[in-house]
Amino acid sequence: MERWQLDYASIATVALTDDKLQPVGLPAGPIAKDADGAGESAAQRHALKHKLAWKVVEKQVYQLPMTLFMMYMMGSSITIWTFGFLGYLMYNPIRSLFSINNEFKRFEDSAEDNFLVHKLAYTAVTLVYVALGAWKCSGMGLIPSSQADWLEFMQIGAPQEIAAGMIATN
Amino acid sequence: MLFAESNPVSAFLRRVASTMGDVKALFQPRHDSDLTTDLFRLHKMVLAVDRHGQVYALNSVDGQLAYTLPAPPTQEDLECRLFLLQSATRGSSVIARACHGSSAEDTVTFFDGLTGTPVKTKGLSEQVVADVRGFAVIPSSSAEAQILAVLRRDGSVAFFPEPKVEEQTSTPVYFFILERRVGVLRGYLLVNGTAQPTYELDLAPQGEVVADVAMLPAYQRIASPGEILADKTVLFKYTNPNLLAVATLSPYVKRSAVLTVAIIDTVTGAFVDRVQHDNVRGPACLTMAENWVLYSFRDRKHKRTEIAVTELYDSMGKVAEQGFSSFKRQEPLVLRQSYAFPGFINRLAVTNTALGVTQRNALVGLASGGVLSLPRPMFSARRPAEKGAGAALGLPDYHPLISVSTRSILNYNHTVENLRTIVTAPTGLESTCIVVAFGADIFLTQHSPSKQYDRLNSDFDFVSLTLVLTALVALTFVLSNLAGRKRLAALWI
Repeated sequence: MERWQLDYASIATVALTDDKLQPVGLPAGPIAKDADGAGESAAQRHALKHKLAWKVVEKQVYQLPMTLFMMYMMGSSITIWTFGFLGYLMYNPIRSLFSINNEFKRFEDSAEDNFLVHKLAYTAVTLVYVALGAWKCSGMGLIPSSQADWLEFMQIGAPQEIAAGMIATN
Repeated sequence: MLFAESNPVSAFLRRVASTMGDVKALFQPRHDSDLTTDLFRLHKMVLAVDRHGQVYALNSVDGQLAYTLPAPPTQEDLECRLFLLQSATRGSSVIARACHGSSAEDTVTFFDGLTGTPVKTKGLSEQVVADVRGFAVIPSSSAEAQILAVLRRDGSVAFFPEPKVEEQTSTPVYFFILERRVGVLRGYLLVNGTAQPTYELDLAPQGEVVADVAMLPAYQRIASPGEILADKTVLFKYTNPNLLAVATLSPYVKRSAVLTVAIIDTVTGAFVDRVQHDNVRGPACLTMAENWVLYSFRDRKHKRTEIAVTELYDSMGKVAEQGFSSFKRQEPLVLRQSYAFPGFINRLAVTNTALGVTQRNALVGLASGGVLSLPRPMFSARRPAEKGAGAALGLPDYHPLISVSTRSILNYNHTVENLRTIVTAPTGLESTCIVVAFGADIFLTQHSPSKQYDRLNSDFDFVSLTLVLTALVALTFVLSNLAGRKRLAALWI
C-alpha cells in the first residue's frame, strides 16, 4: 500500500482580491463605513423613518376590509362567537389608541423628530374602527340609540285642565 | 305605600325611611283590629248603596257585613250615589252619600268609610242642598283628600269641605254633567265659586238611547307614554285625561239599530272620535282606560257578538311633556279594530293598578254570570295582519275570533246571576287589583293580570336560603384564616 499525503503548503491561498474567483457583486475589500454621517445621510434616515411610520398607519388601514367582512358575516345575532368578535372589535381600537405613543417611540431617536401627522392619521383610522364597532353594536340592539330605549325615562306632564263630573241617571 | 317618584334619590330616601318605620314598628306592641290596613293594602271595605239610600259595608277579607248606614227617612225610591273624598291612608276616611228624591232637595251625608260613624269635622256635617244639578269630586291641594262640589241649577257651587283660599289648585277646573236619560252633556267652568256654562251637547238628537257611558277615573296613572313599534320608533299615546265615551243606540228598525260610539273631550265639548255600526242589537257595553275605548255589541247580520277597540295616538308624534291641553287643537291618530267574541257580553270593565305598569286586562261580564279576564294584547288595535309580524310588537297576529279560555273566568264556578256591575280597585301591590262583581250575588277576588311578579311565592324557601348564606359566610372566614396561616408558614421556610 502506498503512503501518500497532501502537501498543504503547496496549495496557494487565493487572495480575495483576485477578480477571477470572486462571486459577482462581491465588493473588493471590506465595506468602508461612511466617515461623515451628517447632511445627506441624515435626510435619508429621516425620510426612511417617515416611510416606516406611514407603514405603521397603513397596517391599521389594511385590517379594515377583513373587519368589514367579519362584521357582515356576523349578522345581527348575538351568539357566543359573535360576542367574542364584537368584544375584539371594540377592545382593539381602544387599546391601540392608548398605546399610540408606544407604537411610534422606536422612530423617535432625537428630539426634533415630529411624527404628529402620523399619529393623527393613526388616530383617525382607529376612530373609524371605533365608529364601526359602535354602529354594529347599535344595529344589534346593544346600545340605547333609538327613541324606544329612552322611553321609560320620559315623564308624562300633568294635564293643564281638570274636568270632573257625574253621570246622572235621571 | 307605592309612589312613582321622579327623583331616584328621594325615592331611595323614602324607602330608607319606610324601612326604619318598619323596624320601629317591630318593637311596638301591636293591637290587632280588623280595620288596620295591611302591608299590601289588599284588605278593602266595599261600600254599596241601595235604592232607599241604605249603605252596606262589606269586609273584603271574609265578606261579612261590617256596618250599615241607615237610609234617610223617606219612603220613596231615591237615586243615591257615593263619593270617595278621602281614602283610609291615615286610618280615617271620608265618604259622601248624596240622595236625590222627587223633592227638589238632596241630602248629603258624610261618614267614615271604615266605621260608618259620621265625620266629626265641622264643615262635613249632614247637609240638605236644594236645586242640585249635579255633583263632582275635584282635587284639593293635599294629595289624599278631595272636595265634593255641588252644582246648583242657579250656577252656584257649594264645596264640602270648604277649601281655604291658599288651597285652590292652579289648574282650571271644569265640570260636566251627563244626563243619561235624555242624552244631554253639559259642561261648566269653575270661576270664583260659580259654574259658568261652557257647552251643551245633545248626544241623542233622533231619540237614541244612551246604552253605556265610560269615563277615565281621576286616579288613573299611565306608566308608559307610548308604544314601541317594530322599527324601534315610538307611537305616543293621546294622553287626554278628560275624555268621556258614550255609546248610544238608535231606535230599533226591523230589530236592528245603529250604534254610535262617541269620544268627547269634556273640557271643550269637542268630539275626539265618533264611529257608527249598523245592524246592531243591544246590549251595548263600553269601557275606557288610558288611551283606548273598548265596546261590545251584537251584530245582527253575522249573528255574533263583536268587540271593537278604538285607540288614540298622538298624530304629531310629540310627547306632551309639558302636559296635555284640550285647547291645543291636535287631531289624534285613531286606530280601530274589531273582533268576534264567542259569548254574550253584559258588562265591560278594566283592571286598574296603582302605578299603571301592569297590563290592563278587560273584565268581560258574560251573560252566563262569569267575569272573564281578557288580556290586553288580544284586543289590541295594532295586531298585524302579516303572519309572524306580531312577534316584534309583542302582540299575537290578527285573527278575527278572540279565543277565550274558560280558565280566564275569574269566578270559575261561582257564577254571579244577573251580573250588573263590575268594580275594580288598585291595591298596594302593583301586580294585583281587586275585582268585585255585583249581581244577585256579590263576588270579590284579587286578580293579577301579569301574574304576581312583585310577590314571593308562598313556598319560597327562606330556611335553605338562610342556611346556605350562613354556611358561605362561615366558610369564607374559615378559609381566609387557613390561607393566612399557610402564607405565614411559607414565609418561614
